[in-house]
Amino acid sequence: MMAAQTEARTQFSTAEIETLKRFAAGDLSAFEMLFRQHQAQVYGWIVRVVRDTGAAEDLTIETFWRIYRARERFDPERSFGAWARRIATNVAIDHLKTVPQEVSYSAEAVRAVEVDSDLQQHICWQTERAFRQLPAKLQAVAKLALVDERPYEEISESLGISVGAVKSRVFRAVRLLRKKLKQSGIEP
Amino acid sequence: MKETNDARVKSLLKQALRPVSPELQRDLWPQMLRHIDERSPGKTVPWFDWALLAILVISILAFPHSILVLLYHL
Repeated sequence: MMAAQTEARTQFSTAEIETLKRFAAGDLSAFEMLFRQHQAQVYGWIVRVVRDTGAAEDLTIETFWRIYRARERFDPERSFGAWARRIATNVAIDHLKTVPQEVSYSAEAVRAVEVDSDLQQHICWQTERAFRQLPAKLQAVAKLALVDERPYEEISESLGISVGAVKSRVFRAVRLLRKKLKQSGIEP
Repeated sequence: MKETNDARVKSLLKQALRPVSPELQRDLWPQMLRHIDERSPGKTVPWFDWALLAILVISILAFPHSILVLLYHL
């Protein structure tokens, strides 16, 4: 039984490596297989960073386009998922750099939590406005670490930096955000 | 005190940022295929076309009177 399981795992792993090798050699059907296998994961990661479902779909396509173009450089012995996530993070950060920093005020804006007063709505708007003024790299890390509470190890892997560097970016993001909120008259 | 402040910032951010579902609602492969098709090398302008265009532009800039000759032949 155990031997059969081990054999199945080895076969699966061999089949996966074979797919990755075919992808690296430019086989479109292998790329399709990998795309279908990883698209939801890549989309889920991007949407957490950009917070816009329409843009996240386009950026998922852009991520896989970059993957497809760079296929010859891919090492089939390494994790495709981790490689895809790293490219997705870079694509999402590039997108954040192009998003306008100004946020128009709307009393009916959709919030993660029900806000019941104009004052709370105003605080939310000021927070979003201040947050958008942070550098894209800090925004991405802060969203992943503070809002979605993803593990630091996962974030560090997706950015290609150390866990210490992730912690440092979170610290800088919080410090900058607090400073900007204070300037807007909000005591965080 | 610092941890309380961090928790407050975290809570403000969670309230302020738009909620999103991380679930993908549709298969993106057809869109990907179109993207590959549009951007594949066969669809792009060959390098020698660009070279011809560059020669033409340089000729016009160097010899402005050649525009008349070109127009005559078009």
